[in-house]
Amino acid sequence: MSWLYTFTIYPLELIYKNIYILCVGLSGSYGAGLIALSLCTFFAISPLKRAVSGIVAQEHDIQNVLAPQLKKIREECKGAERQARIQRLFRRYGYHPVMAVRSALGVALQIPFLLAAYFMVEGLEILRGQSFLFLRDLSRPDALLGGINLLPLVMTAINLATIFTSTDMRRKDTIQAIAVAMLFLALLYAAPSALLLYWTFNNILYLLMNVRAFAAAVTAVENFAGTILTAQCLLSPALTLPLALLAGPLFMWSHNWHMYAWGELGFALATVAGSALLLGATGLLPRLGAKSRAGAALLCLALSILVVQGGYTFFHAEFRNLIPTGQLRLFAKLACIVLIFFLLHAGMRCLIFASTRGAGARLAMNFLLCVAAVEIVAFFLDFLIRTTVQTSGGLIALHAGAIALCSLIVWRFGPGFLNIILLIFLCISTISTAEDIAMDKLNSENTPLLRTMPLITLAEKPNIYLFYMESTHGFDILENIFHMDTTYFQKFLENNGFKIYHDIFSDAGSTLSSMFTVSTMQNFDVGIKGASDAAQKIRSTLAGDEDNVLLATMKANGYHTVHLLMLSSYFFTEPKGNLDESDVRIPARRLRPLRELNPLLITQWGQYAINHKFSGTLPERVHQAMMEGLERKQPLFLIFKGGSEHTPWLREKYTYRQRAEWVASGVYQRHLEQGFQDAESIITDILENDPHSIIILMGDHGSYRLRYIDDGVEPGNLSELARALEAEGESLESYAKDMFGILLAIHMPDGARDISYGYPISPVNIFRHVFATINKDLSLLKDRVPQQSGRNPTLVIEGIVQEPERLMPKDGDGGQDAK
Amino acid sequence: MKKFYKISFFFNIICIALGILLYPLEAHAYMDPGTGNALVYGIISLAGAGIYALKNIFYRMIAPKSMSQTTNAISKEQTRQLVIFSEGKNYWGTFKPIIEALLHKKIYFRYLTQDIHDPALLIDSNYMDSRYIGNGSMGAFHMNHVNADILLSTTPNIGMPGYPITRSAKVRCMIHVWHSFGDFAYAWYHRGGLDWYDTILTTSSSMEKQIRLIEHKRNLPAKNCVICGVPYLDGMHQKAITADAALKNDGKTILIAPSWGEKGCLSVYGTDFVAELAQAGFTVLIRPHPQSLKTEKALFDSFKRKLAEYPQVEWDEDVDGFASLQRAALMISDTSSVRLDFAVLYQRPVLSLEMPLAGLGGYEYADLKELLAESAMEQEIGRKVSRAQMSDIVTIVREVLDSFRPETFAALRDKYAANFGHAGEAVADYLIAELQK
Repeated sequence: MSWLYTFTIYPLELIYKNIYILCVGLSGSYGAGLIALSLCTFFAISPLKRAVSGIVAQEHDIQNVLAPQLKKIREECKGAERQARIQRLFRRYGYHPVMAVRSALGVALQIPFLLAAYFMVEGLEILRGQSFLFLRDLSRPDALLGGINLLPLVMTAINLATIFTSTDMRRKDTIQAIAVAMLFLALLYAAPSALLLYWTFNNILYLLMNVRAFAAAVTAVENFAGTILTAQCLLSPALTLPLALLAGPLFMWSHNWHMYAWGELGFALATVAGSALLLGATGLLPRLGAKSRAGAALLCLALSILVVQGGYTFFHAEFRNLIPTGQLRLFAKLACIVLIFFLLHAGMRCLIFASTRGAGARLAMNFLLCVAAVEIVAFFLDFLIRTTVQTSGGLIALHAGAIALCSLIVWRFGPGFLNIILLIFLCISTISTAEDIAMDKLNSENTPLLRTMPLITLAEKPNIYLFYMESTHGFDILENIFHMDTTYFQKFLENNGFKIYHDIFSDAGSTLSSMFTVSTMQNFDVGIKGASDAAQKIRSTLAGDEDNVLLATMKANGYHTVHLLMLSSYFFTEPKGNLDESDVRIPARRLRPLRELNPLLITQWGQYAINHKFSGTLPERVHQAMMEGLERKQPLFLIFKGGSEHTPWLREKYTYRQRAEWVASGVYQRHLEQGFQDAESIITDILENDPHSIIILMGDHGSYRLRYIDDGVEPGNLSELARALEAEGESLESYAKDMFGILLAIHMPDGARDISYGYPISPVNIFRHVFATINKDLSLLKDRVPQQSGRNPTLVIEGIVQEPERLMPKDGDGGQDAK
Repeated sequence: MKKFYKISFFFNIICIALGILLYPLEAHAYMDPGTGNALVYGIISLAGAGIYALKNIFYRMIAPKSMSQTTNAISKEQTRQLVIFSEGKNYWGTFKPIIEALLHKKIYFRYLTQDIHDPALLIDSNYMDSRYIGNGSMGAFHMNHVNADILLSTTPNIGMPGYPITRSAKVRCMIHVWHSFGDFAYAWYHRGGLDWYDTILTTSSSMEKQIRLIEHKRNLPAKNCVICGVPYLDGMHQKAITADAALKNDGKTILIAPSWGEKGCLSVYGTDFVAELAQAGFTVLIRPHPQSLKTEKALFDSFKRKLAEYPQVEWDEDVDGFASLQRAALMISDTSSVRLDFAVLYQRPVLSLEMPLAGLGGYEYADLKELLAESAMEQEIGRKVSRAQMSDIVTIVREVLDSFRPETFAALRDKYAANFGHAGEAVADYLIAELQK
């Protein structure tokens, strides 16, 4: 059952995944990362293994004690008397035959970790095509022996070697283990190489444990770890905290502050808290009782996730620019790895200590309670944020209230670890929210002011399909810049009744803003970052609030409105008043820390958030929505998105200097070819089933091949911008087309016809043109908004790229632009 | 706080139930050798448990009388009145005579032990409900919530802060029985070790003086002191009476019985005096404390190497040291209570080597110093040998052996071990009287 998986395996899988990604980042190799992960696991669970070995030994011991007494009973009596005496015997020893399963605990201990590794490897897309040494593809079986998989054989051989070199196995255990090893050679034969690599190395370590010298070395390492635990507590903050705190403030004023601060704060928090808990683990705080140590154990383990995530963010590519010294970076990374190891190790020790001091049952109960409580809190916060709390101040007030309540509980009932965990989660959530709000101030964007628009009554109501094509240029740019042969697709469109419009510019430079202009039929373009107030407003509108004039018009005309998101959480959380359906509901972004630290919330909402009516690929979902709409016998308005991908946002991942390489790499072209294939499939399907529909194929913005080329240029200074472009062999026109040049093709019910009516058609006005065509009433175009692309400066007005001498600095006229 | 946890408990149950109900079912199929091995074990164990359970049901149906007579002989109420707690087989000697007396008198009681090797678990009686409660935290948890009118134990420190076993709120009267005796038995208990007991079954009248002194110094409520004797001597005495004649002492065998740890005489004085005794023609039996064999193995291995050249030196590492005690004409020890065992049981002399007594602030000794200074026990059972006299150890041994008169030891029994030979019965009689109140 998936709830069992979520409660037991998924948290481990999450830890595994994050540690693995960190190991990959450190080693630079996916295969070496698996080996490192195996090592981490081996040492992290060694305290648990020792405790379990004790339990297994106890079981053997009690069986040895009972055996002669059972034999005597069987010899002396039979029937009911025998059964009664056996029952009394078992009762005296507090034993039941089912407890014999404890003999398998040593092996069973590995099951959750193996399962976590299995699911992790299975779900890691990044392993596809990755090679390691002689393994060609880690996501597939190795097939190294002329089609025969070698790794499973190696794994089995090591298994058998471990069995035969073990000194504590009884004869029947040995026979059983051999039979099982053979049996599962067959079952694992076709498993991915990554899993077999991890498992084989794991087995090698266990095999080596049968070698006395190695076992002594491992014990020495663990003893050493225990000995220097105190020193580590002092060293850890001394080493890692300054690095973390140094990075944070230095990036405070960077536009990438958001990512960094989260990583830095998380890292600092984990370092300090982890060190404090390690102090407890060493027993230096004798007043810590069993319950507190149990809580300390859970916190250690939970903080491991935080350290890994924080560390991963902390050691992001941007860090390289700040502190270029490779040795210092490497040192900090190693400190991070060491901290994770000690956290995991200390966490396990605390856990075992607590469970051996009579707190085992309470520990299990409190763990479940903690998960449930966090789940409830997260659900409650999420509900409030989605429904009522929309402003930054409200969000902070909400978190402050939750923290105050939790603090009150701590003060009234004592610092039980449940309360502490809740408090920490809430603090993390608050910190993250505070970062978002601070970033809002950096962006300084105002919520757009929108004009009230009268809704249009349509004379006819054909089904309308609005197909956004992500980062898709017009065909001229695709041919001239990206050297794509789009002849086939152009012919396809033309043959299927599409009118292709050329030299079209979007009215906004980002997907959200572009879709917003279409939805509101007003001009608006802001720099959207993360979860700023402006971005949240846009999302709310796209979801169908009262400002979505387009959807409101559709609803007023009896349309059934659907927006397919393909499981993306970027656009909006759930449909609002004017949007009838979407295929997903995703929790608010601002609960990200709670979500990412609580695997239950992720999977629960992930499962719950999907509208199972729509599934599969984009063409499949469009087909499902279309057929359902046709059956409904209600006009359908369907929005969906395909297309390509623009260049990366991050300066360290891409700048304009790499434009030639990026174009040559073909990444953009390959994505777009797939996008065109999807479009072809979708259009064919629509025209087969719904030939009298309106289909609008439209790019949202350009590919941003020239990203950051305007660095250092004074905002609004078109002349300086032109000079900077010229120095790079570009022009204002190529720059404008790079950001705003889009594809536009429209299919009307009566075939291909030009609905621009002499105006420069663009997304902001597109539906004015469509409605005017439907109603055969061009007076609707009087209300059209001038086409404008860019802000500060505006690069394109009414389809014409501006020249420096014609620059008009932004003052807020002609549309609702914001600074 | 309890209410909070109760609310939390039900809240938790509701949340888990909701989680179970709301989650869709998916299959995540995965198998590996380890999982398979564990699954096979699990299947076999479950099958065995299932067969056992089915048999129980079957026999209850076809022979209910047989099953109920032998499985339900003792009710909870009966065994709740008297509970005996033992840490393990090491204290079986103390409890065995008591249990035998109780069973003989047909008294119902419950016996709880933390050791699966406890011989008491081998007893299958209708009057004795014995249970292995687990060791470590499990056992402590059980004891912390035990329900009993009377709890009899030989374990000190129950109820002390920091000790895993606390005094259960459901115990009306907690009674302590000794597993050692003599003037110094109480001195080597950790400070406060008996403060939570209600009744002390003393071994002699001198012990009550010590208990009252502690009560006075710490302003503790007065305990009920009842002289019962030393139960474990009952069994040893029986064994001594029926001992193999071959084990009788030859007058030339010296037994060295050191304590373990820093209080051990070998640790303090080394093996030189042992070598001197061997060179003087004595047969020297060295019987290390069982704990030394676990924690000081390397040290004692070095002692063995040093004494290897003396064939008269023998090492006795048997769990039961009875043979050595039987053979020895004289014992050399430190502060160990085995000295009194030897003197009272076999009526033979003991040399007590002077031991440094620093760092004893955590023991009752610190509060009993003045009283113990008046103790003549070490002179009564033999002689105390100071550090300065160690160079004359051979002479002292010869003097003591020559001057030794068994009749002078007869009074030791009366003085230090009341009800000698039947202390277990005395304890049982007291418990029965208390139950009838």
